[in-house]
Formats: sequence, structure tokens, C-alpha cells
Amino acid sequence: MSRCLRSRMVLLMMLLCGSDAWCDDDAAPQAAARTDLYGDLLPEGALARLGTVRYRACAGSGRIEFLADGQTLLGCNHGHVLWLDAPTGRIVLDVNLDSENTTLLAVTRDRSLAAVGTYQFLKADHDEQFGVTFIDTASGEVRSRIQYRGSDNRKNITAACFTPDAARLITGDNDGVLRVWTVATGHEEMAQALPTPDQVYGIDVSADGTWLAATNMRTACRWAWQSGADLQQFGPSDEWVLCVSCVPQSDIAALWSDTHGSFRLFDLETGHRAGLLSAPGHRSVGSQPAFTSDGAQFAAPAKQAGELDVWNVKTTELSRSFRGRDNYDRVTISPDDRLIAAANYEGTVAVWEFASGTPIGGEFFGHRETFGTLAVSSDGSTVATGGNDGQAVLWDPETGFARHHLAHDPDTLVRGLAFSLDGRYVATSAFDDTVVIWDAQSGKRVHTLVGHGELGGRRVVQFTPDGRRLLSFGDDWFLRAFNVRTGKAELEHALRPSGLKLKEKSDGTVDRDDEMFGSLPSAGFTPDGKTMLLVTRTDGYVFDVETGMERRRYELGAIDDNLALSPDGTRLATLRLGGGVETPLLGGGVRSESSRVYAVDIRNALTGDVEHTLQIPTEFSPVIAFSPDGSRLALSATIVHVYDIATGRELARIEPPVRAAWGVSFMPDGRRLVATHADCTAIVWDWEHFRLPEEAKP
Amino acid sequence: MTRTINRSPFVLVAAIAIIAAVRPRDRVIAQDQPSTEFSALVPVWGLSFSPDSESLAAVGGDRAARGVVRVWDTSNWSPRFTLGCEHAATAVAFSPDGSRLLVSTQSGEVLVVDAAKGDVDRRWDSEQGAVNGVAWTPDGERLLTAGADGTIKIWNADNGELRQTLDAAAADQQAGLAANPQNAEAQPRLRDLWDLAVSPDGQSLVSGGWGDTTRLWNLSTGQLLQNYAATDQAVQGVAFTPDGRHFVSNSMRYGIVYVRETDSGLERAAIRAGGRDVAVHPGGELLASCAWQEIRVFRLNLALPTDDDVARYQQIIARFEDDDPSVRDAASEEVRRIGLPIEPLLFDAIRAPGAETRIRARRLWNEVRSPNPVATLSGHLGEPRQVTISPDGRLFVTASKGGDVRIWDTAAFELQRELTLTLK
Repeated sequence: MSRCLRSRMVLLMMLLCGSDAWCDDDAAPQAAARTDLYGDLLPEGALARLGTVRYRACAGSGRIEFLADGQTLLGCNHGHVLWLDAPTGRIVLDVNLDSENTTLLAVTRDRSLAAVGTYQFLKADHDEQFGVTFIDTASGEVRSRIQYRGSDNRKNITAACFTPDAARLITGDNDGVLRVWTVATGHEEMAQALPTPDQVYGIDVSADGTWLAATNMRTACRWAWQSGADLQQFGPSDEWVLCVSCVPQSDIAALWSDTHGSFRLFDLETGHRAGLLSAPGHRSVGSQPAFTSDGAQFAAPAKQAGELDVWNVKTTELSRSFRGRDNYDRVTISPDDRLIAAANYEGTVAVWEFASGTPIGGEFFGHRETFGTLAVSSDGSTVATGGNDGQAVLWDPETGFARHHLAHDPDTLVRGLAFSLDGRYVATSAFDDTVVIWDAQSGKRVHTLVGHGELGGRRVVQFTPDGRRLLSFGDDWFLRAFNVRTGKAELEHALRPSGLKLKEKSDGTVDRDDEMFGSLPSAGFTPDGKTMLLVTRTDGYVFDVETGMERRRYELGAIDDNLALSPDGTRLATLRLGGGVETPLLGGGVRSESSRVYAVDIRNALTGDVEHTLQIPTEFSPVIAFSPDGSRLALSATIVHVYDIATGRELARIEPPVRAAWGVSFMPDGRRLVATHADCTAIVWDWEHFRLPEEAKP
Repeated sequence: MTRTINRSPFVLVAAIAIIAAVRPRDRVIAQDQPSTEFSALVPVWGLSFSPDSESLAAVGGDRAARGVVRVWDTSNWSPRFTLGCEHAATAVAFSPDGSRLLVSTQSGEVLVVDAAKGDVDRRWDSEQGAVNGVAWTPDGERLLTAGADGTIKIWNADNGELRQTLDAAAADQQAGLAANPQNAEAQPRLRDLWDLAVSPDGQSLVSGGWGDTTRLWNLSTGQLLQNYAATDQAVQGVAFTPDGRHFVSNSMRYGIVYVRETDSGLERAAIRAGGRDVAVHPGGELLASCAWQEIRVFRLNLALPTDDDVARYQQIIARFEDDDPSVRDAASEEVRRIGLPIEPLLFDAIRAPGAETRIRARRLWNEVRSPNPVATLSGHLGEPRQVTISPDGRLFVTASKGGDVRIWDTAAFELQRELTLTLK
């Protein structure tokens, strides 16, 4: 990036963002502000960040494009357009488009102008607003906009590309309609419907601008859009086409990716096949490939975890693969062919040198996808987090340093976490059908034990207080006790709660086909490890761990599936839904929103009797955690609340800059709490900092 | 046990696929029509080898357009003849002496074709709506057709006279067997039968249906012996092993190929093999099945354990309760190596008193019943729908909805040839 452009961006960033969380090397140091391990600013009231905010620019869209300088990446993220510096992973410019969602990103050939799709729900009008905003990529200025509403009988734009002269934008929408727009005026020139009214997945214009290729999954079409001729289908009719792309500077005209994950080449003039690019084990995910500037090679994300394939167009051979840490959805190559970047819908960005395959930007620790499973060791020295990226991480909550990454299968979800009382072991239960006991000091696997299958929801693990046994329960309805020393199963009970009809297969497992996912159980063990509490959507059960017998059953009524057990095991917090809201839209269809008020019932865990009820005004279903002394409750759903159970009063409300995700836990001191956030990090908060003023007593 | 049962096949597939280098090379492989326009290709609905393996027949057609029957000479892959039909051709079978071809069509027509010249000897309407599966009895005297109306009709091969009609739904009722739960309220359209196989001794018949299930019949009496409505749903392929002791069926709904004993009807293996057609190697040790995107090849060992084996197997299972994790894991590994023959003992161990034994036996039982593929064959132009193995055991032939037919060798699983099916 030229020094001039860079300093202009920094200036702009400072102008636009003011005192936002992002800072740059050149910016003046702010002595009072806390920073995380990587030097990035922490929000107020935060003590440490577990993870990093670097290399994240496109959550919810997964789209990135390199700009003309070859080292700035453009991404869009929930209504924002972000400029990310590829060598450092820092955001250098953030432009807020004031829309709920950003749906697509397209750039001109010279990458000076970007088109960003926007979506906004207009609450007052019961309508939806769709649009495209044209942005100058050097300055971040909004040049012009296309805007229309759902009630205009047009649907959301799902794919777009510029014509080679950058004068027009061609879009495809949810109804399979292609539209040609004049960029300067935002005026619609023409519209053309595809043969089937399905969502347009991909659209591209040939290098000379005469042909347009588009797919809406079921049909791929070629269209000489300026000639007034009808569009024509190409390719076999029984193949699903996931993307189309025109090869730059080449006589081969189009390429598409099919349901088999292979790429096929076509001549757009004739519609005939020109070649097949396929190799066993290398399957494209079906997203738009990125070409090198000469059009001789292209890169596309492969279905294998963290791989990008590079194909040679002429020889139709796989030339090499890049290995990364994530699954990627999109890929972009810098105009000088020096760098390649990949991104996914979680918002993670990775950058490599294209020629050598060397990763750029160094190694960052932590989770690569949002996560919600948390456990804190009894002395508070370690926080464990379990993620959707197949790993658990052990953190130092003081500094945010990741001491160990505990790796399960990379495609799996880690759902159960527990420390032994002495902090020596940590146990994880994951969807790769394993339960693992790890040495918390060394991060080494001690035992790999049988898990609870690869499907479902809740997994619970807990060590007995004497540290001799590990208890494990999951939604395959097996309750097991393992000897921690030998790793041998000592108990196995197939739990069959009364009133639930579970169909058994010949091997004694539950046939999940016949089981409603709504009845998946949540569970918790009492601290003595002798009793297990099991909660379905309608009932609570008390089971004896040693015998596997049901001791008690009580009715709960209709509850949500989040629950928490107090640290002493005597009280249970369950959640009731406030009811959903459905808004009919003027443009047709319905928008569903979750309920606004939830009720948390604090019950006697053994009898189910309600002792307290808290009303929580929140948009999404919160997760719940008791404080160590059992007197307070933390709830997390986009924002984090702390309630006093006895009085029902809200003590504190943390409104983080990045919305909270599905994990919250108090630290043993009761003063700090850990909450997970949508940017794949967790933050250790000083909740007292957010204490609400006491209401005057009447 | 560090690996999960479900995931390991996938990893192995990838590894084996790369090792075996089953790599489609479009530029290298000879095509009979290079750079064909796609619209000319028609989906392949049936494949059959002549008993001497010297001819291969493929039939197909677009659902709306005309059908085609093509026979190739397998020595040089030149077409012997191509026969057009008024409707899409849905199934084909060579007669046991190799002289005639039995072809069915989407309109329910049945054709007996001279396999040398391609002349139609006889044609008649089966009155079954559409016919999707055909078979000959081993003596060559009778023809069987599986119809969209849920019936199997048995005809005289010489004169096309109807000898017997087996009605699947009526037979279920008569035998007091539970009807397919899917089938109970299904439209007649969804009750269609899809594939047929006759045992080598001509005594047993297996039928499979798309909206239906697998049924085992006594062919000489026409009596329904068993239906597998609980496990087999959306069945597209059925076949007997060469010795006739086992039969296989492909349940598309669950993506599983079941292997069952013909005499007892009991299940021996449940292989995660994907959904479509299935074929068994004449040697009996290889099984090929069409999955969604590829053809998976499995090795089968259906031998039952001897008394000595049983004693040895019991000792291995006893080691599951050892306190040393490495001894337990070694025992599990040994069970995996033994594979299918230890399956009956594992099934008993699922009910053993020891928790660790139960857990390991349950996992391993599911694991050995579903071996990993030894190869995957990929690269078709469309969804692979048909697979067959030459009677001499040398070749796999696979065909897709995209209209291409691929020839692979059964030793190295390498692609030998690519053919295409076009309308006449």
C-alpha cells in the first residue's frame, strides 16, 4: 500500500470512527486504556480478552476482495464495510451503512469501486428495503445507491457483478430475475427472468462484456445481454450449478462448479463443454473462484478443512493446495498476484503469499468460530472454553494468554467441559463421539473415552469430588462413569425417563429418527456426583447415578432448553419463553422475531417447586449462570445482565460493542465474569463496573 | 479408540482414493464422441453384461423423449448395434444363454431383442404402467418384470404369456407383515417397484421399490417370505451374492446397503455405502454401490466363524475389561482386523455385564458391519445411477444420469474407458 494512501486511510478512520475500538501503530498511545495480548484496545470494564479481533472482517457475509494496492482487503460485516490491512490483520477503515445486513460485495475490474448489497427491515412499514450501495474503495465515500422495497415486487439481491467498463452493475435476486443497472444513476435499464424462479447463486460477465453467465442452482444460462437475444441454457439439465465465473483474458468463456464439487469449462459462444477439472478428494465448496490476473490459474476453497485449491485452466490440473486453519467460503487474489486471502461466514480472514504459500500475519491463538461452552477451574486460575471449531482452549484469565489448545476432530463441536476439583484434569465431551480427559497442566490427552454420538445437543461431564470418577451424560441417553486412573467405564446406564417413549435399536441405542429434537435433554450433576438432574422441555427428573434409576419426576410446563444448576446443587434455573412475534410483510412473506420477555424460574432442584421468578426483557433466549455463592444470576443474550435472585433486581447490564454469544460464567471471586462474544472471543468483565444505580425505595 | 466410527470411512476414502490414483483424466481417456454437446446425452437407466462378458448393454432415455438400447463389443468397445424405442428404456437383462436381451420401457412395454443383430423378436404391453426392473430365471424359461403398479409379473420367455402376478401390497397383507409405514398412505405412484434379482438356484427372488421396501420371495411358490419395511426405504438396487447364500439391498433413505442371509433373512452387514444401485463381484468378495457422487467399492468377508475362531474371539473380547488402556485398545484393533466374522460374538457382548465390554462391543459391532470402502470411483458427468460387474469379474461398469458409461478394472480400480449413451 502506498504510504500516501495509507496515511489518508488512517486520517479517515480517525475522522469516521472517532474514538472507536480500533487503533493503528501510528496513532498516539492512550495510556489509560487497557489492551489485550496483541495490543488491541479492550472495551471499558473489560479486564482481558481471550482470543483476538485481528483478521476478522466479514462475519455474516464471508465476502472479501483485494483492493488495487494489493494489500488492503475489503469486507462487509453486518451493515459495515471494513478495510483490513492484510499484513497486520487490523481494520484501518470502517464505514457504517446503517443497514441490518450486508449481503454481497462486488468490485470493478480496477477495484476502485465496490458494490455492497444491503438489507433493512422497515418495522414501521412492515416492509423490507433492499439495495446496493456504491462505495469509492480509496476514500470510503458513498457514491450512489440503488434502493427498493419488498412491496415493489422485487426481491433481495443475491449476486452481482460489474460490467468490464464499470458503467453497469448486473444483479440477480431471490426470484431468479437478472437486472441491469446504471451505476452512475442507480437506474434500472432492463430485467430478464431465468427459466426457474429460484435464487441466483452466481453471475459473471465475459472479459469482452458481451456474454453474461448466471446460475440459480437448477439452471445455468448464458445471455448476450446487449443484443436483445433470449437467454439460453447451457450444461446438462440434471446437474446443480453452484457458481459460474468467466475466465479473464482467455478464450475459454465460463466455468462452473457442480454438485460433485468439480469445475467444468464451457465455451459461452456455443454452449459446448471445453473441459473438466476434477481430482479425487478435492471438492469445491461451490463458491466463486478467484483468478490470477492473467486468467491462467484460479483458486477455490476445497471441502477439506482449511484447504484452498489452485487449478490450472489450460491443463485442467490441480496445481497446488494451500493449507489453512479454517474452512473457507470465499477467496480473493491481489491484483499483482502476490497475496491470496480467504474468508468464511464466521468472519475469519487468512492471508498467504500466493507464490510460496507462506501464511502472512503470524499465528493467533484462540477459537476460530463462535463458542459458548465455558468452565472455570475452582481456584480461578484457568478458564476453559469449548468451541465449534473442534477444540477446547485453556486460558490465563489475567492476561488472555492461551496456555493450551486441546484438539478434538477439527470439524466437530466441543459441548461439555469440566475441571476436576484439584484443577489437575479437564474433561471435554464433543460431537466427534468422544469424551477426553486432559492433563490441565501439560495439555496432553490422558484418556480418550466413548462419547455420546455425533448428533444432538447437550453434553455434560463432571468429576466426582474425590477425583476418582468422571461422570458423562449426553443426548444418546447414556449415563456413564469412568475410572479416571484407568480410563475404564465402570458404570453405564441407558436412562429411560418415565413418560418418554424412546425407541431402541437392536444394539441398545436410541433410534434418533423417531425422536423429536425438541425433547433433547439438558442435565446437570449435583456437586457430590451422586445425583443427576435431567430436564426435557416439559419435565424434570432426578436420577440416581449409581443405579441409573429415576427417583423423582416433576412437571415444569413448557420451558426453553437453557438451564443452570446452582453451585451447591440445590437450585435449578429454568427459562420460559415469552412468545414469538410474526410480522406479515407488504412484499409478501412473514418476518419472525423471537420473544421480548423471558421468565427465569429458580426452583428447588429436587422437587421442582418455584422459589423465585425473574422477568428478563431480552430479544433472544439467554444463557444462564449462577454466581459462586448462588445469590446472583448472570444472563447473556446479545447483552449481559446480572440479577440478584432474592430481590429480583437487575444489578448490572453490560452492553458490549460486539454482541454476546452463548456462554457466560462467573469467576470464583464472584466479581469477574466471562462472557463469549460473536467475534470468536471471550471477555473477562468486571461486572461491578456496570453496576446500575439503586432504585429509590418507595 | 481415538477415531469415531462415522468419520473414519471418509478419511480412508480420501486416502485410498489418492493412493489408488483413481484419477479421471479427460484428456487421456479415449472418448467415443469427443466434446459432445451435453444435450445429446441421455440418462442411463440400465446396464447388463452378456454371460460370456463379451457384450455390454446399456439402456436409457429422457423421461420425456425417446429411449435407446445400445450394445457394445467389450473386446474393442465398438457398438454392435443401437436400437431406438418410442419411450425411455428403463431396464435391461441378457438371457442366461446370452442370445436375447430383455428390455423394459417407461410406457410398460416389454421387448425381447436378439442380442446379436438387435432385431425385436417380440414386444408386448405388461400393463404395469411403467416397468423399472427386469430379470430372467437361471433356466431362461421365465421373464420377470417389476412394475410401477407394485406388482411383479412372471412371463413365459418363449411366447410372452403371463404365468403369474405377485402383488406386493396384497402379499404383505396375506403374510400378516406390516406394510411399509411410508407406503401406508402413499400414492400408487410411490408404490412402484424398482429392481429385481433372482437367486442362482432360481428358488428365491428379491424385489426393491423406490417408494417401497425390500421383499424376499420364494419364487417357486410365489410366497412372500419377508419384507424389510423398518430398515429398507427407497430401495433402488438389489442383488444376490454368486453363491446365493446372501442378498444385498440398497436403502436410499438411510444410505445403507444391507447384506442378509437368504435362508434366514437375517442381517449380516449394514454398510454405509450411499443410495443407488448395488452390484456384487462374481467372486463374492467385492461389492460396489452408487453413492450420491461416486461409486464405492467394499470388500466383504461373509464366512462364518469356526469353533476355534469362536474361542479365540472370546478371548479377545475378554480383554476389553483389562485395566490397561493399551491392552483394551489392542483388543479393539484386533476385532477391527477380523471384521465381519466376529460380528455374531460382538452382538452377544453388547449385553455383557461389564460396562466397558458393552461400550466397546456396541461400537465395534456397528463398525465391523460397515467396512470402509477399498476404493471410490468418481468423475461421472452426472449422478451415478447404475453399476454392474462383468461375469468374468474383470470390469466394473458404472453409468450416470449425465449419460456417460465408465469402464474400470476390478484389480487396480483404474478407469479404462469412457463411453456415452446418445439417442439413435
